[in-house]
Amino acid sequence: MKRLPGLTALSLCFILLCGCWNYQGLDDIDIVTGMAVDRDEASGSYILTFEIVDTQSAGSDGELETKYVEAEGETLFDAIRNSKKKLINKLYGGNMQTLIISRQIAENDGVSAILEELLRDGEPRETLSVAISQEESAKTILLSDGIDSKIISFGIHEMIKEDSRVTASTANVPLYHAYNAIKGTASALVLPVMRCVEEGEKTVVEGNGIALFREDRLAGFLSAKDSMLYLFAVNQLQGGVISFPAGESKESISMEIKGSQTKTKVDYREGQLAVEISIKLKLNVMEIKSQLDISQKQERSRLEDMTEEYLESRMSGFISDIQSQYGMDIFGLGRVLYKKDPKLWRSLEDQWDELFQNAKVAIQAEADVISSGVLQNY
Amino acid sequence: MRLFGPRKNGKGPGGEPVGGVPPQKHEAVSDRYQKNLSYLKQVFQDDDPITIHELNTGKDMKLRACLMFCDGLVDSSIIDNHILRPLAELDGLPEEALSADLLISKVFQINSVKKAKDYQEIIQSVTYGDTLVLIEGLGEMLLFSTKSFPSRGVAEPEGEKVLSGPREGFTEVMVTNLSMVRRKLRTEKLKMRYYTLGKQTHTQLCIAYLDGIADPQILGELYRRLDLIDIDGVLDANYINELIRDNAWSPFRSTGYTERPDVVTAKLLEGRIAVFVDGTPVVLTLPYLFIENFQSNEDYYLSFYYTSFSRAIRILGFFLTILVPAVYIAIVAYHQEMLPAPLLISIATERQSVPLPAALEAFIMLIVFEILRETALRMQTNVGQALSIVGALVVGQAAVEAKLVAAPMIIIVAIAGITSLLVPKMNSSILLLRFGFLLLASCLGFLGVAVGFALLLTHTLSLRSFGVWQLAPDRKISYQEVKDTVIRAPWYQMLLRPKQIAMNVTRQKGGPEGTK
Repeated sequence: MKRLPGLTALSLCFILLCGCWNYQGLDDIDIVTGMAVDRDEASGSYILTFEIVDTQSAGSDGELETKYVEAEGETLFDAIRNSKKKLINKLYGGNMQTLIISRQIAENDGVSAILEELLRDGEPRETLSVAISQEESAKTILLSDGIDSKIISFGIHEMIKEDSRVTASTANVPLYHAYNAIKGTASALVLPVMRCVEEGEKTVVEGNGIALFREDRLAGFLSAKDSMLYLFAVNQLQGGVISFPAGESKESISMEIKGSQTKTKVDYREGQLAVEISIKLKLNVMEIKSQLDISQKQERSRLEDMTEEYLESRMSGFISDIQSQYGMDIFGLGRVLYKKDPKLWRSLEDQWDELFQNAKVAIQAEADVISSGVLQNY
Repeated sequence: MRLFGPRKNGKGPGGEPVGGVPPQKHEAVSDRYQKNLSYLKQVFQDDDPITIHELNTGKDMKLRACLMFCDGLVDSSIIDNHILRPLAELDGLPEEALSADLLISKVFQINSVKKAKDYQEIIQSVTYGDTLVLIEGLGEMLLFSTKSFPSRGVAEPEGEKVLSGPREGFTEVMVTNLSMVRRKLRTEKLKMRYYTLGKQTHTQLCIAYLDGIADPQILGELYRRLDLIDIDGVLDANYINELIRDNAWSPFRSTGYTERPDVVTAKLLEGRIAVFVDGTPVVLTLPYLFIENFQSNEDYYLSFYYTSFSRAIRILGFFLTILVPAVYIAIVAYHQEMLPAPLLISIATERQSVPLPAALEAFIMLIVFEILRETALRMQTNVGQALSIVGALVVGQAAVEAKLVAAPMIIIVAIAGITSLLVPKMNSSILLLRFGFLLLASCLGFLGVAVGFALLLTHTLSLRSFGVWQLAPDRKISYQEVKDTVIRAPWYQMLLRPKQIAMNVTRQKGGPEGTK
């Protein structure tokens, strides 16, 4: 037992002398929930706006408030560090959930420098949402009023996640996905888009489709409706609503998408790209005004036929629009080919945009109305 | 790895005697009445409760006799009716034919008589309630058992209450305790061997085991360790526990303890050995497996679904009570990113304008909790209400409202405190581990918790009780061995006794799984 006191002293030395160096009290940090990145046109410096939870003013019963800090710097990191000058506490980004980038930066400078900085930084999570602002500045989005949540950033993060699942009006692209899309082979970056709308007396944030990128630069926007078609094409659709006029009376039918699966085939033959997109989707009938008696199997299959027809025409219209208007492969068709035949893809890489523009696209939809929602025998 | 270094031979418990007093040479009893009497009078000088009653008897009142007993330890009516009266009426016997055997068989009607061999035996017997009878001309002195102690009634032990099941508990009188176990185990295989320990107290122990089921090697090891003890007094079973344990410095127990006869009987049936100590209701059982910390006798009396669940809860409680403050500090002070955002914000809000850093706050609050607990144990019962008011209102609510302590800390301390009550058998180790983990966590964050856990695991895995691995046996574990550990299987499934303890492991034959 002679060793015990020595051993204890030694281990206490190890613990007490080496420990505690990164002890960080919760009251010594400002929890950043979101960040907006703008750029001053004149000076070219970055202007960052941080949304911070105001833990000081929140009492035991009071609601959470947020406060905002603005910082300017030549680079993003410089600006982040400059923000400290105004604050007592250190900014803590471990729980940041939203990054909003102004459309000017996205158009002129590209987003990859910003994404890279955040990924290199130890604190922010790779799962935070990245969004493009359609307003004057990204700051406007962060300063708008929330309906459900006082913390706008959390609200945006949840909105993007939910909307991509429920309404298919936007794509959920976390930070690491966005970065992968920029750096990955034959893949294209899209990011959700946010804008402000008036809601009563408040100005609230709303998702507004997705932004298309060429490399890391903003190339254009897709509307919320077209976003669903995009999600169909890249097999990311989880839910949403399909509605179209049907039957002789052209009354609208609304159906809920319960699940969908898309398979894409890309073939290259004699200088011509042939793309085959087959979509299988399961639907629930929600609203129906036409005379279709959907409790009958025959009528249901008619409904299915109409849905397929509608979806096919919408999809082929949408894709040919992309082909002619943007002329760039936002669907990652190149990646499909690359996975199948990497050598072939490498040889075609340089002329890919041209090939995509002239590609023959065939759409095949297969709808399955799984439930009519009609009670029989009542 | 040995955390605390190798044990040197002859040092500490289980080693050689620490003192060095040679055993007293027993003085043979002289056959001369007067010499014996004067010697004993001298021995018991200044000891007033020792009563020496001299009388003359025989045909012409010439035969001198003497009774010696300790007042208060004896049953006077036995002495009056069965020793004094026959002694006074001795005149029927011829003096020349007087002999100890004749007296025992013809005169005294007392069931337990022995002839005294040496003075040491006499002293110990008289101070234990026996009555010594000296008769002139008789070669030997006679010791009659006339014990009658004041004793507490058999009651349910305060610390081991059950909802259902036997409610009797041991008392301070060992023979009563032995009788309670004997009544449950009516077999000749139940062996109970006396052993005397303590140079001054001469405390009687009783080592009980089931012959043919208990492992003789463990029994031999127990005797070896008991033989090495050289202590002046044994007042409670814990004296023995600390003197015979395997890892002298480990915070974990290596013997079990109970105050319940049903528990002792169950342990004997599993092949364990019980050590009764006179003067205390606590009985030691050994070897002691780690899982016994989480077992309770009620586990076997209630539905096995219910008790399997409560055993899981106890094990969970053990981990919670040692880890919750440490993990909280590690997260709050080092790894904020591990918390979901809303939880982080709500904790951060609570922590605003609290003066102390979280780690220090945790130490202080845990110590305050221990103070409250200790006070509750030590105080007189009639101030209990005041303590709970002070504890709950002043320390809890008022401290939070005054922003001296963050509210989450109170919750953490409460969880740690409540869960520690789930495993009462481990309270000493829990205290040590909780503070150890907290220190590691507040200096090193989760790294410290991981290091602490690794150390704890290596230590517990190296624990042995009388040569038996306490946590995990050094061989493959069979399905049968799991049935009474984290779960409690129904009785018809538990066919075997613990393999590492019992010599004869078959408990039930047949059953749905066939014989083993």
